[in-house]
Amino acid sequence: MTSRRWAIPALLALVVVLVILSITVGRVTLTWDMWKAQDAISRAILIELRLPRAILGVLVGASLGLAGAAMQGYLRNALAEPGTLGVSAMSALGAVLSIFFNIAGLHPWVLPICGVIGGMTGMAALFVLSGMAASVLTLVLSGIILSALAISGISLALSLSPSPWAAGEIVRWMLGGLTDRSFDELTIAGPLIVIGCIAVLACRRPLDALTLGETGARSLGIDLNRAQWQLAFGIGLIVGGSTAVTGVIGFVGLIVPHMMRSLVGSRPGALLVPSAIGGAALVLAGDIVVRLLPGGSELELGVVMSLIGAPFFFVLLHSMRRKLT
Amino acid sequence: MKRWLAPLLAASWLASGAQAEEPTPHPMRIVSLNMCLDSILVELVSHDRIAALSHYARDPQRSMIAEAARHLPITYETAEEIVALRPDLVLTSRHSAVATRNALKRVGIRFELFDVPNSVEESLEQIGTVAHLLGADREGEAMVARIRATLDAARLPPNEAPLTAAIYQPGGLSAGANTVVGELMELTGLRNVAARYGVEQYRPLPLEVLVSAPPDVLLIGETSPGSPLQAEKVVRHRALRALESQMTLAVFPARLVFCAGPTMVPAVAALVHAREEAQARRRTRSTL
Repeated sequence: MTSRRWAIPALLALVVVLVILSITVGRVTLTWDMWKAQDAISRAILIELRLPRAILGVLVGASLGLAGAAMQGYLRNALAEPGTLGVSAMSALGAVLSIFFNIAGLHPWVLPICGVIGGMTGMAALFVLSGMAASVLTLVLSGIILSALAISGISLALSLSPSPWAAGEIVRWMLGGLTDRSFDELTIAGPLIVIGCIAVLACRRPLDALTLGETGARSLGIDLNRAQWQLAFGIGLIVGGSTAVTGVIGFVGLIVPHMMRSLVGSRPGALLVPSAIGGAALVLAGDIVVRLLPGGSELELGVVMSLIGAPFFFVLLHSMRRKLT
Repeated sequence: MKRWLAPLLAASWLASGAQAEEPTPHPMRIVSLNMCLDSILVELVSHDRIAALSHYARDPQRSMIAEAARHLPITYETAEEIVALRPDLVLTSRHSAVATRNALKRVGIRFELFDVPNSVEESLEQIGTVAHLLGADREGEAMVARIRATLDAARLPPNEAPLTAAIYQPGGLSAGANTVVGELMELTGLRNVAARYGVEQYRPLPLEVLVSAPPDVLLIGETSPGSPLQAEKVVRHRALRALESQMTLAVFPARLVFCAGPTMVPAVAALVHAREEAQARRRTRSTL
């Protein structure tokens, strides 16, 4: 598989087009006159509603794509991804527990930090349960355990809470979306996601070295232990920060690295940046589809991602099975 | 399983209820499984006839009778609890679980099923039906008359122009066409824009649509400051705050939306208050 030079500029151009579409398209069709008028209403729609949504889409999509590519590289397993392995659900549980124990109201940072702690706990649990280069079975089972634990915890906490909106809130956490988020939320998720991305990107060399196997990587002077915790830290920040604001958006990290592999080759380190760009494009596209679908209320973005992702997961597992047997 | 359960329960029933051999004309042990029926029940009969209310009745965010319900027994809508209370009438709505109703049927407990009223007239009719079942026709008529009088007094004076308005509760939920609250809004001189945007029943109103043509009055739900719930965040969205100069934000707690019946009285009071406040704001703005 050869790296295609046009791939990254083309993907970047796609993201730019999707960002522009994301700002121009919505429930309300803004005519050119309204754009030019720049009154309070068009400004509220463009700046307070659509712009934060587009930026958040780019950030969340890019970081989730990056997290997926890094996890697949590190675990050397094509099925690894924060959503399918329950890391996202764990971070949603962290956020929900901060609501349940009434500490989330103390400061706007409490909830995302609890989400980050949840995400990091999920990553650590995953490493403990499955270890490095675990079999597909162990890995998928660890993911099922984590997801089941997190979802039951979320349901329990929200059902016990006095809010009359508990059921809706559970759905909102489990099926994430970008609808009606504002700059207030963006300023909270943004820094966490950016720091997480930097931590993950710094792991490029260990990821590449791991393709030679653990002993091979060690002989190259790679501190695998450090790389493991750096990845847990970075992915925890990414997943925690994005989940705290958008809820669980699954499958981005699963689909995108696979698509990118056919474009830029399968070297894990070289896959990180293209996966980030592809992730941004996928989430933006999904979010635009959600807005354009007819119907009374907007579909949650997580629904669309699962509709695309679950069949993809199926095909992937099917082809892997053929390869294994 | 079912076959042996019923006689067993029936036997325990007869053994403990020996004194109730003469059927009383009025039900004396009433259980309600629906918050809206609870609110009618507590006003129509003396509280010693109420065997249990629904657990929602005690929730101050949803219920208008939370204070009264605290001193009355409640159930969590399971057949087991209801059977143990040995009621002679169970009031239930379409919201209750089918399995619970089937269980009551098997055990032979009399229950009455009520629909959720979609209009003021339907709600008033329902009060009459409930009152008749309770043997409290006179009290029921008085309640209906009281509600009618309140609604008539709340009507928009003919010399005043109506304002546009929308309900915006946590989660973006609004009341559209075919809702009691929508009808009360029109009656008090607030044109419900949510109905015009195609919102039916209680459904979310897209924030972008709402912002694109802000109504004169926005009836927002109660939120606790700093609440981390996404549902409540949308009510405090910056886009709405940016348009605060164009619309009057009035608090309209969710508990006024959930039920019709006697809740219509405080609901119209809140609507009239919101309309008057918005009109006063308009007047001061035009004189400036």
